[in-house]
Amino acid sequence: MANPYRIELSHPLRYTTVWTTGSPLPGYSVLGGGAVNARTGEFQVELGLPSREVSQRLAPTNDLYLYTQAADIRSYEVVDAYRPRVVLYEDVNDNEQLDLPRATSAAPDRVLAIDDDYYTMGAVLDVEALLREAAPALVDLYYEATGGRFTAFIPTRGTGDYVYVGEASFTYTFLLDDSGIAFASLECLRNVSTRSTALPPNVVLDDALDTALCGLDYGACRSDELDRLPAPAVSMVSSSGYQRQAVCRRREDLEALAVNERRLGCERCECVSESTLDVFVAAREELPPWWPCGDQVVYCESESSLTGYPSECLGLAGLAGGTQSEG
Amino acid sequence: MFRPLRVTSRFLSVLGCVVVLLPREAAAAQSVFADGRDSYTLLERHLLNRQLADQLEEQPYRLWRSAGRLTFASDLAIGTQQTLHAAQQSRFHGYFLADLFAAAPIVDGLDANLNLLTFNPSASDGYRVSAEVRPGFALHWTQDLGEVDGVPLVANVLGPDLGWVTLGKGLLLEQIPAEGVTGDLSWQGLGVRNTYVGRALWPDDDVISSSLRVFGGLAELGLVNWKTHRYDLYDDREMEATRSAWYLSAAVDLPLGRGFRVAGEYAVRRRQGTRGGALGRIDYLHRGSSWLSVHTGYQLRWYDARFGPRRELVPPSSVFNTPYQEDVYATNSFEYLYLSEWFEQISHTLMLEVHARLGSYLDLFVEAEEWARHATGHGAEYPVLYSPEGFRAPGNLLRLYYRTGVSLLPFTGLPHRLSAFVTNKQVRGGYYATEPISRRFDSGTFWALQLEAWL
Repeated sequence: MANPYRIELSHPLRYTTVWTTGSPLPGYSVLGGGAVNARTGEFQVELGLPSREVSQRLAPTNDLYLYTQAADIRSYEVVDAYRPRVVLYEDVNDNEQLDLPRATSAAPDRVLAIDDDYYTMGAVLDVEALLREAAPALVDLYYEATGGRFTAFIPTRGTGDYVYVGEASFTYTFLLDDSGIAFASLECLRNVSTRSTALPPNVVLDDALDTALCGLDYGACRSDELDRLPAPAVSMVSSSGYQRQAVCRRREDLEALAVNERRLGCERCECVSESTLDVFVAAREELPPWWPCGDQVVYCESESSLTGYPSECLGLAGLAGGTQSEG
Repeated sequence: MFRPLRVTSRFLSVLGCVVVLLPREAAAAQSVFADGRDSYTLLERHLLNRQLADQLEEQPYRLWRSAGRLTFASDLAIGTQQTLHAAQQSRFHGYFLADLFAAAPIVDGLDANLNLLTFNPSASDGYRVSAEVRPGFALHWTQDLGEVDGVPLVANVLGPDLGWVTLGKGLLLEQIPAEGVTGDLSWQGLGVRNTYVGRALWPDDDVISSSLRVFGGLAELGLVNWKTHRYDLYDDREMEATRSAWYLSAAVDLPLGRGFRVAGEYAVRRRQGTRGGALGRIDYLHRGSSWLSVHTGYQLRWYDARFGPRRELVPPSSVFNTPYQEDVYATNSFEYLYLSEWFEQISHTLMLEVHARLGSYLDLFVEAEEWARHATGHGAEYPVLYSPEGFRAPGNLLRLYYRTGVSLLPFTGLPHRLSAFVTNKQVRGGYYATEPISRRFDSGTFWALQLEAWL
């Protein structure tokens, strides 16, 4: 488990397994769980099968495809499998169980991470049938994947209709993310679509400058008195749902402040990452009093357009003071 | 000077007389060299591809036994089979089978033996579409090398068609059709034999057996080297050096008189300590009376975990799958060695065959084998496995194999018959009889009609 966005946790972090069912109504069955050591990030996931009654209603199931080939002999078998969700959550109400939004009247827990869609563990729904009917080569494959253990749980890879046997050395990895994408993946049964949009840049020129400076660059371009505008937020923010970075540019007698923001939001099984760029341009001799360049925001040397955010300047945000350039 | 082999072992001379066999049991009264067939059963004992003249001495009904120096025989059958409780018919369900034998002495003591097994397993495939001819050839050389203390020292060499091969009493290998070569020296109840089997139970195995017989075969010491070539069957690549599994065995076979007999075999091998296996068997056989023949028997088998010759999860396979396999008990080492790596196995088997003559023309027969198996996992962790036959290990299984019915023998004094029977023991096969299969018998209940003749 890693916490790259440094999400603050004011309640214990726990994990649990969630088995989704499809009938008579879509629902969840939560099984097992334990504490996660947020400091070390390592923990043991204990997997167990739900009751027979729940097992019969699991949805969606996958076709687990076992295949092996030796010389001219191909062996394959397709068995029903279900890939349980392993969910990391902040136990807001300290009741050591997962309370999902809209599923409980209790204060919902924060779902912060979930197992990967592609590489995860699957549960073979009828192991006895697999062992009874599969060719010995496939039985061998099964035991190779499970490390020689007789268990329903087997590493898998793939998504969609067919999944395949994965590597025996499988390890769960989790990245804490408070953008809501983890909960969307759970609620939408792994069926989350993601897309990114980048809005056209919004360029504000100081009213002393000619709007011809924008040239044919794509986006809005207007003049305004920068002195009278509120200072834009420029501090670097890096969280799973929101990121902001700013960089300064200069060319001849002009300076530009570019502020790039990205917001990630999920609604109805669609997660959209929207990026905006605000650029402020002023004459070096007439900078507004809130101008942060050289102080809160570094300069980046680049030959590209002054009204954009050069790619070579990415990553420099947050390095306060002075001029930085890559390369 | 060479003369034909006449084996008169001390075992038979102690008994004092030769048991006359009913025509149903097509085995020679005189011993056949390296005879791997089960001699304590009423299941059909098919001809071996050697010493044909000796085998036919007790079968005067054969119409065409010799032509000059040549000896001929043929076992003929046609049959049809339908399902009672089975998903589908087995492979041999509308078939003919013509087992043709010819033998000729080349010189005194050296015989050439040719067997043509021709068959068509299924009329459903179309006219002659799946008909096959599977030839077997054996040269059999026997010679007195001289005398020691007035008793001949006899040598025998036979190959490559060994027919039904059994090592010891069948703990390791029992009634497996095989090719290879076997050589033997015998003298006054003592004998040493060396046998090489080219393919026993796996495509990449070889079995080399050396044995010492004493007291005319009442006791036997054996040394078996079961080689597997560590060929990765699934990745199609040679692995490291050939692996050998060495077995030391001791076997006894004691006739108790009045038709009773006890036999046993114990073998050990070194594999992470000493691994053992044992077979014990007691039989009662009565045949030859005017109307009733009975065999009943019990056998116990024990296979320690890791006793089998290979470590990989590769089940044994059979590459000669004809109805003749139905005359071999289901209790066979073939069924134990796949699971041997992980499980200790014990089994108890009751065998019963009854043939009763009703009047002049009808025979009632019941053949049954009740097989109780038990497998226990070895070590702290072990897998769950299913044998190809459907036995879940660890676990228990009780299974009954049977064939029961009636035969009409319309020709007085001749064995040719029309049989109708119900059975759950039908040989499983691929499209070709030599396709390797790991499950010997199809599941289900069948009824069959079969017409047989012996020429």
